Amino acid sequence: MTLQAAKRILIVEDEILVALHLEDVLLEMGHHVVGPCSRIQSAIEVARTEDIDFAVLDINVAGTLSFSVVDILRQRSIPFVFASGYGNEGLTDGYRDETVLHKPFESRELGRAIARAFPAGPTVDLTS
Amino acid sequence: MARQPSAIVGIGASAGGIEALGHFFDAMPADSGCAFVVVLHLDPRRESEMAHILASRTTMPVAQVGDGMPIASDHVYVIAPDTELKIRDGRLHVSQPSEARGHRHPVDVLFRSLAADRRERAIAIVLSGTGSNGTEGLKEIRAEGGMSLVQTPETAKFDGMPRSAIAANMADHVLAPEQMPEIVLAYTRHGYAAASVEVEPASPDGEASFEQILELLRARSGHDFGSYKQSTQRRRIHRRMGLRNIGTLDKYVDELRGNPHEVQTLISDLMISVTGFFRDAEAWNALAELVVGPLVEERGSGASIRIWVPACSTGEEAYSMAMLVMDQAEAAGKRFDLKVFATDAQEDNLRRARDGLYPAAAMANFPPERLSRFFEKLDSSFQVNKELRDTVVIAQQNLLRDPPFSRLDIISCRNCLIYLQPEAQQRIVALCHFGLRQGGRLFLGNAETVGRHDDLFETVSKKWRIYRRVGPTRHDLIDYPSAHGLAEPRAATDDLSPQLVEPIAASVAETARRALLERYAPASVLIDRKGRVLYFHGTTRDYLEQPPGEPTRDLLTMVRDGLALKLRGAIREASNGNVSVTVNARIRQGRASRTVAMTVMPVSSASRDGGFLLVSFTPSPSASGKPQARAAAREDLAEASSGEQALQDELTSTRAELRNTIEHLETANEELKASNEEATSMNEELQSTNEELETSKEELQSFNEELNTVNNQLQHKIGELERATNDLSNLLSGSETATLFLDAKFRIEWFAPATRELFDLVTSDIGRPIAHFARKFADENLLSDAETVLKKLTTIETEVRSDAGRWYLRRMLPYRTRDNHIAGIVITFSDITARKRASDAADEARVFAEAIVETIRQPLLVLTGDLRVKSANQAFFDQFHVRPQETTGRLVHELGSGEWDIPKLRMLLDEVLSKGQPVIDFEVEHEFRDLGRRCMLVNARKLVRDGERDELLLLAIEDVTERKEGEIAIRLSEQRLTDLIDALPGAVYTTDAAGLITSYNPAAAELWGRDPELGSDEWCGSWRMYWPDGTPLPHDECPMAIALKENRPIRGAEAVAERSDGVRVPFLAYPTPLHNAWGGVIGAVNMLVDITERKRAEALAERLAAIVESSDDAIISKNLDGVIMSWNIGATRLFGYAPDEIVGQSIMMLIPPDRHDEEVDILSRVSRGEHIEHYETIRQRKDGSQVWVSLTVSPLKDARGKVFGASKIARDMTERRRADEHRQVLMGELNHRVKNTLAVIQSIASRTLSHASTIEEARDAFGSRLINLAKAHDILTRESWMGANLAEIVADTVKPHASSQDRFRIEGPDVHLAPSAALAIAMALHELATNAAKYGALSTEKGHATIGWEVSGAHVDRRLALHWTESGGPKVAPPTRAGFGSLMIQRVLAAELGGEVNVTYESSGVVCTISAPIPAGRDGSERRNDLAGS
Repeated sequence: MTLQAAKRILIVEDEILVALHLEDVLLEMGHHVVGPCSRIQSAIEVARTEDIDFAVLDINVAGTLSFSVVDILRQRSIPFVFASGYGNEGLTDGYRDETVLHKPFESRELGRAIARAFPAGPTVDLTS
Repeated sequence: MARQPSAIVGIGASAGGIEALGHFFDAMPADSGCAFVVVLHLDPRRESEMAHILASRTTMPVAQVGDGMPIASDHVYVIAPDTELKIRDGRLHVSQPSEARGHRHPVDVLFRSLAADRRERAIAIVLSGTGSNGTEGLKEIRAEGGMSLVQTPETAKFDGMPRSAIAANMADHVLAPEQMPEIVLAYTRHGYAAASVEVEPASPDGEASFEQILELLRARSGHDFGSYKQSTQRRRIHRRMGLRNIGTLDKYVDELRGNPHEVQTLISDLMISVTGFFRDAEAWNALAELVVGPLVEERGSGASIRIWVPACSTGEEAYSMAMLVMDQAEAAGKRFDLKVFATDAQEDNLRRARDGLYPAAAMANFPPERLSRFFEKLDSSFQVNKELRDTVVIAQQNLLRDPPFSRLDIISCRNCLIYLQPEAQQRIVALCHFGLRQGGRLFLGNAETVGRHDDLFETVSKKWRIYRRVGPTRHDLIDYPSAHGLAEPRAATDDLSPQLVEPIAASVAETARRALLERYAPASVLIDRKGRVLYFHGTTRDYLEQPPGEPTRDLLTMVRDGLALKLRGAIREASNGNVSVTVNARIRQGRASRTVAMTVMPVSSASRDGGFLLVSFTPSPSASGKPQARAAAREDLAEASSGEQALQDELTSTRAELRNTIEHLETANEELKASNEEATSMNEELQSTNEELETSKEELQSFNEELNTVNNQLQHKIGELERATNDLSNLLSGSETATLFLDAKFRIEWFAPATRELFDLVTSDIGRPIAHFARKFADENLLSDAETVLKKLTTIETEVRSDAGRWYLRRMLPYRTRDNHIAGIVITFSDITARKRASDAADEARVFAEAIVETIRQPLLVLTGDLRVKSANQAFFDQFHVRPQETTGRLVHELGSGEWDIPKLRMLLDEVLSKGQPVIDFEVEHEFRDLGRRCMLVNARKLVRDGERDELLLLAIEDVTERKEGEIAIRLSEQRLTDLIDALPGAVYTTDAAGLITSYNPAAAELWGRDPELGSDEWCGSWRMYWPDGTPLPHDECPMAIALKENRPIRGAEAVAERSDGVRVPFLAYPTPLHNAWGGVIGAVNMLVDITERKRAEALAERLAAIVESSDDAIISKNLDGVIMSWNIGATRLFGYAPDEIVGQSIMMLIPPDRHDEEVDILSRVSRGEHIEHYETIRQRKDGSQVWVSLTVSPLKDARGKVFGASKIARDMTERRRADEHRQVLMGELNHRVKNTLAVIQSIASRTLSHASTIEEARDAFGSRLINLAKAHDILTRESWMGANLAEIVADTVKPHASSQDRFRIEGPDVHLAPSAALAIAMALHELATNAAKYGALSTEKGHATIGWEVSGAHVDRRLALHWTESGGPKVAPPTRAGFGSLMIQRVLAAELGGEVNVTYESSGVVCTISAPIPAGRDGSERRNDLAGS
């Protein structure tokens, strides 16, 4: 199985079980997980400071929308996807064109989203 | 000078003839050139109007015939009554009828005379009539070559005469009367009748045609007319051409070829003969006397008598003959076997002869006994009876062709020979000679003779042409006809080839004798004493030779040269000596000669003339051989003396002389023959003249007889006249009327006895002038009146008064004889005294009545029975502006401009007349010319006048126009009022002064709910009444009662009426008393106004207002300009404006500025009548805030449906909109939560599966975790996801693991947890419990777990500390690897709670300590944020 090169991926998710599951999936893919942040405040902190390659964000995190985090990611040109129970309707103007994974999603969907963000990057062969 | 007519048309008619004559003359042009003589059967006693009748049908002059009148062309002559009419020499001769009335045949008489006078220019017409008159006459017409026309029986009213003529085959044409003129004209213009010359063959072609016709007839019918006289034939053929209107012979030949019928007709025409019973009576008398009488006397009874009547035509003569013989035989008391052979060539004729049916005219002269003896009467005809018929044998035989009968006693061949050529005549005479027995008699017509054959017959009566047969039977004479006849075809065939027919077989003996004679007998001839050859036998040509010229029978001229001299001597010698003498003589033939021996031998004969001589020739034996010849020559020579030569020479010269003489004789003979021919034809003519004379004589006789009859009739009439005279004088004497006859000089001719009262007259005064007598009455005008009457031929009436005081009506009139001659005057005096008196009385009455009529002011009319105005009174003229002259005498319905032309009135007037019922007050309405429309009452009554036939009517007229108009106006106004009241919706009724109801209208009845009894119900018609407050109101206190009692009107008193059905009707009453002209109360009128609706409407309006006021919705009304008109409390509540602030203001005040367009749209829709339903929009409050409202806008319409505004209902929609938004959020949240939950489940599944060692384990673990999760959700749901009570969470989580009640100890205060925290705790506790059940305290029976919590601190610092402590279980050790349970407890729970979780594995069991902050005040007010944020 050919995997991409390991990335540092930020998880912003207030549902701990879901975050844990996401973490498992990403780890399984050979990536490093940053977070998961279950509060926007901590997520902003992490996004601003940590070394991150990619991010998976819930839109509504414990009652606060995660667009402020996204703004930071955009500034830093870090690719990301939303993972939301709302689907696209949850997005407000300015964010509608972003990729949204609809919960619950399959790990493959997430993998493809990451792969799209890094089209020609080096790959890691986990089997080797 | 009138022209000689081209033809005379004789017309015979009888019953129904006038009509036919009319048709005939209608079609006859007036310039035909013909003259018409009309004969009818007229009543001999009456003047005939025929001439007038016919004059109306033709423009030709019509005259009744007078004797000696010349006949002019284009004139019509009508027979006079009781005369016979004949035509002679172009003049009309009138004579008395010869026969008795009823036996006359004037038509026959006319036709006969016409035929004789005009021959082919005679045209006879038989028209309608009964009987057979005319038929006999037509025979003559046709025989003389004239034309006969007969009316078709179908067109004739009476077909007796036409049928009789047709039956007798006498009609050349059978036509309707109107078709006859055409034929008449064609005939008269044809050369036959017009030129009256015989058809002379103008060219050889013509001749050929004539021959052709005869040939054709021969070929077609077998009749050979070659032996008929050509003149007769030509005339008859020409007649046929005339009848057929054919111009040339050639065309006629063509016609004959194509028309077999014409052939038959021509043949019968050619054979025409006139016959009749006992024609030429005297000849018959002679025959009876000279022939039949002796014959009857001579023969014994039972002997046979054979008589032949050849050419018998239709049999009259044969029957005459039979009758004659039978009469004579009966007279002599004998009976004979009588056979009369009647033969004719024409089958037609024979058929009629067989029928034996003859018209009465045919036997006009018969004595009655003969008629009854031999005939039976059939209608107008007579038929031969059986006895007579049996004696007559009728057969077809052509005299010229067929063999004759033989051994006959009498042959009657009359008027047959005259039509034939002399040769044929001779042949027939010879034939008769042959047929008769020796001594039999031949009876010829009176123009006929036996001619040359005087040797065969001896004359018995030269005058009556009766001959007796003499001499032997001369076969030689009849050979030819026999052979010829046999050679001819019997029937009409075209085969003309000679046919050899076996001669009649002779007897064998005869045959033998003949053979012997031929073989041995020398050539011989039989001669009589005069030297005429009677019979040739053998070959006589060697000795005899016919000299040139006419054939001769003189033997001496026939013998060859050299024989005559010797023979003459021998004959003389033999005849004188009555011995046989034989001489020899030499026949010189050129230079040769031979000797002949001639023997003359007398032959005895039965005839009285004494004998014949037989001369036989034999060749002398010497002549056959030399020696004999020589010897004969020698003998000759010896005989020749010396003087012989001289004698010979002398003889020669004598002979030459003789020859000359003979030649002379022959020439003379020729001349004689010619003169004979002439004499014969002259004779013929004389004969026909004779016949005519005979006929005339007969007719004269019949005239005579008729005259006798007339005389008798006259005597009878005189008797009648006498009786009539007696009757008349009795009548006059018996009557009261004084009658006086005066002659032209006023001499008394006769007077009635009653006259004596006026004049003193006695019988002897007759003949004296009336002027000589004193009058017993005052009448000075008597004589002058008489003169006037005579002069002017008028009647004069006058009334005269007698000296005795009586009144007389004197009538004076001319005395007219029957022929309209004025022979004097008649004066009658009728006693009229009584009448006069009555009339005077009537006059008086009339004057009286007239005075009344004139005085009376009503218009009166007196009408006659035919409704003519007889008189009218002055009032009538005044009333109708008419003048008397334009009224009197006119029909009542024509009066004025026809205003009285009223069918109903006429009917009534007729009824008055017929039934005597008077008309009473009949109304007439009419537009009068000057008066305009008037209404009249007419009364009519019949004026009864006893015994008068003309009834009178009195008609009284009354002008009632004004009266009627007044009545109508009143009625109309009353009607209008009634109609008005009836039509009023308000209840109206009236009462009289006492309050009794007199009338009411339908609305009143409806209001009361009942129909009151007029005249008994008082005051008001209602059932029961109440005051408005409901207390009962007695009727006599009701407003009406008050108004009447107090005599004042009441305006609008309110009361309630109760109807019979219980319904109460509130009303207002307006009773008003009514007054008469003098102010007295006569009643009252009341009007009740039903105010139920008004009351109801008032109640409704109040209710509506309450509803509007109490409504929560804003209810606003506005007009179409958007101005607010009403405003309720709801509106004030919603928009903040008080009613007085906003009513009168624009609705725009409520509408936000950006929605002003909306209102414009609403207004326009509403003004179109649209209703706007639930329309949500925003409106503006008084404080400027906006509010969501739902609008309903309805148009307000006035009574006519016109929109004048809108009502607007506005409802506050704020709360509803909020709820809607909430629902939206919830839906989104639910979706989000479900998805999140699923993601959680995904995570649980993933963890459970990755940590389980077996599938079973994984399945159990996953299942129990899901159940746990679900239970936690149950709690949250129970709490509407607002969080959960910790105790509940704990209890529910551990329940599945608590096998007994005391396994768990749960202690702690009431703590409310957020949903996520509650879930996390529930899941963590589940893991702990599961682990305890597997490995910990709960895995043993005595182990148990304690779950306790406490809350410390307050407000923001409030914290929860929860402890899970197991005890009594096995000894536990920390797990070797971190499973889902530990992850759940340590990471998830910690993260969820934001606190610390600490798990220790004590020896007593697992202990888990959870410490987490739970800030206070989150229980209730935080709910919303909690929802939004989770």
